[in-house]
Amino acid sequence: MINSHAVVLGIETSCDETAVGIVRGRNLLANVISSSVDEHARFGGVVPEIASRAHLEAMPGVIAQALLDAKLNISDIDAFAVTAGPGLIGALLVGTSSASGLALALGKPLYGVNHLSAHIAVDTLESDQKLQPTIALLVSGGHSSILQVNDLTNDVITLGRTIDDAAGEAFDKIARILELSFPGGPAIDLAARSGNPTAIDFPRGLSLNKDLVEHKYDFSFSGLKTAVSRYLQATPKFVRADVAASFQEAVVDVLLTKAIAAAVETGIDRLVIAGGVAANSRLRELAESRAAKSGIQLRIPPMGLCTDNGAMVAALGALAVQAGISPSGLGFGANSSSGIERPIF
Amino acid sequence: MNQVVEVDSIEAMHKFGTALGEQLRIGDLILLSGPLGAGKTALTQGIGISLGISGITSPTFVISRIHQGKVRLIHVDAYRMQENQGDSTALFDDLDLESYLETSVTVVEWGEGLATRISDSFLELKLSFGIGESERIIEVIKHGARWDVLVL
Amino acid sequence: MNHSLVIDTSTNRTLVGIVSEGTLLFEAHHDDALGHGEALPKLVQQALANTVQIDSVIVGMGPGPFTGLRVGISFAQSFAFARGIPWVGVCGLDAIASQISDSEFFVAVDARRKEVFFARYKTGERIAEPGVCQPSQLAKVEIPTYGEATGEFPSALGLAKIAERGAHYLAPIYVRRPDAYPPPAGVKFRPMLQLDLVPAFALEKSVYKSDAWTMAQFKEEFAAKERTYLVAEFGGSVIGYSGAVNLAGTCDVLTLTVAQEHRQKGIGREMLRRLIDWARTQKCEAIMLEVRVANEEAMPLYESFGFIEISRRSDYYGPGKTAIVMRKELQ
Repeated sequence: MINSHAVVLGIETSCDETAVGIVRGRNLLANVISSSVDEHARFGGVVPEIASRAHLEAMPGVIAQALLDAKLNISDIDAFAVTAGPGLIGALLVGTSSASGLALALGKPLYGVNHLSAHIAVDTLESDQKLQPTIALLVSGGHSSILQVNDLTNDVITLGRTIDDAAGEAFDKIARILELSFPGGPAIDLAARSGNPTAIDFPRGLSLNKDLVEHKYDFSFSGLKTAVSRYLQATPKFVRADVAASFQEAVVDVLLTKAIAAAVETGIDRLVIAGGVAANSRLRELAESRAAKSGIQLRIPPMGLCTDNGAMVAALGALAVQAGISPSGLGFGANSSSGIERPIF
Repeated sequence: MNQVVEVDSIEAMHKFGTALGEQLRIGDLILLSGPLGAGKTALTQGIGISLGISGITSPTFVISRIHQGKVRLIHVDAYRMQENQGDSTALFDDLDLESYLETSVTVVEWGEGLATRISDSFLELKLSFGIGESERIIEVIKHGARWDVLVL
Repeated sequence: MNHSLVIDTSTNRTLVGIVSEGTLLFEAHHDDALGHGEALPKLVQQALANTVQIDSVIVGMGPGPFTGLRVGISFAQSFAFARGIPWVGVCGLDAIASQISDSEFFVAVDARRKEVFFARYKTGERIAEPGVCQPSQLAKVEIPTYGEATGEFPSALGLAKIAERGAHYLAPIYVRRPDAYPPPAGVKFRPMLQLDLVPAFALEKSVYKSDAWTMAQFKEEFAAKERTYLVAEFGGSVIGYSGAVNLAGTCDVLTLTVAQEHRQKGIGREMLRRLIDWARTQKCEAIMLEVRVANEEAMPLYESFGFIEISRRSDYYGPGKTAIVMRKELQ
């Protein structure tokens, strides 16, 4: 049974999304996300469906849809994978319990996986590329990390991470201060297009020489948040587009400076950028030019695979199956703060 | 009169959190309020230090994070719920924090009007900006006899 | 022979059993308030080693603390889906009750926050919707209480018995408001003002007809002390109002009225919630209200807030019109 064509169903419920994806080896067969982005906008930034209650309600439908899209029966699934952490414990438990139910009912193996590792694993889908060491920049509402991926299923090192706010969170909070719509990332991205990114020199967190000693690859966006806030208070006639563009520039600049430095300094000249913030047009544009300049091979998965999704979980599960890694056993439970040192539970 | 403490840097905020953390016990609920950038997460990091917990970052997106140190620390950020008054209580209840309350130290940022649903006894810390850029003011408000013995 | 896999995670106990036509074939449990996620799959694996054939799944739908409750329900619905078999949800309190032979009693399980989820049973039937209250409130009513505190938990046989009776739930039983009901959109709740008196009075007459307050009574009430009155406003019109008085430390709800066409939308619920909050700020020890016996649609609302019937007053609303007096302790 263990082969590179294992059909794996992956479940992701670590935060807002109830998501299920199905892969056959590295082929993507289905990717269903029960997203409530429209409802987010209606409620002006507050998500009524972030409750674990919503995951419970959405799960059967999302599983059924994924099977439909893949034209498969549940009995065709060879193995199951589920995000077991990190994330919101109540939400994670709906996922792990659902996955356990499916696996036990069918007598199939189950892999609990790490959420961040899954984000990187998605890069292996629809690709013939040999799995190689890569640097990964993972940027989303909940995470901002630079990872050194030697082996996705058992050797991932955190080179740097945020010491306060995540980049995506900064986008949302600044968007709210600027009275832009929700979600903040796309809103700022749009507003920034008509703005001047060098109009205001906002701080690039942890970039001073003294910071680089202890926090070389770490991020800090909290000071940037306060700086923007102060600027707006001191500048009654601020130009929204310029503030958006300059803020965005500060974030993107520091993200890429450190990620590329990591790639160059480790000698691993591949960089994968994943997570919701990977959708940002300025990040993509600058990433391409800077990566090219440094001789770094850049990969950014398609949008539907960058935000939280089930396909990435299935992809990591498929890699685990292929690598002959033992399934996770039954009692792994969910872990809110699970570290990347344990890609597979 | 409520006690007011002034700190002039992130390090000082961490120290304040650590001093507080050393006096915390499981079952304690701490409410942190104050505007964006006031230092709520920094204060929590300080508490974490006293509990042997590192890597505490803003839980805004995930809403609640469980850390295991000397004791279990539940770090909650109700920021995403605060907008919508009615739904916010349903969303907060959905976290089921009360199941963890007695066996953890629980810190809630942006929990005004919500955290009191799970306990009448809590320590409220209101953070605000001081004059200087890195200065912050912390007002300490004790709710419940448990906090009589707290010395900061 | 029909074999059911029975699961319950609505209390601190994770329970798994296999029941076949009223006979218990397997039962195992693990007690840990935060351990359902890890325990359930292991217990089910043990159950499956005991009995391979499973024809249906029965799962407790609460009420109970969410984290554990959702473990059981999400597992059950997925397992059933994968096997292509039906699943049935039942009330955990009913399962406990099915094992009790007293003629009248409460069943109560931990709801955290120093409260319990409870339901009342009489001659083998549940006679009210599950509610939430402090244990001391149940103690005030002179009938026994069974449940977690006395070592009773939902059992596999109990859950199977209830499933057999057909009282099925398709969704978790969320009792503690406002879990079940989001507040109505577009409705504003605010203190009653002088200029609300006329529209409120018109609403009073249309709802209560011959039992309505007079305008003079309305004015007098509105002007009196120790009271709170609020209105629900929608599209610029008064569609509901409520009022309560603090009578020497006990809050009495004087009126809770919603226009006919706006019922069942959570307006009464929201107004009652505000009245209870007011009673708390007044440091009242309890809040009371009277309900017309015929007013069945209001009872579940009050019960879900933890109001308990303490007595009946005959002819309270007029000849032959009995009032049910209900009380909720606030301390």
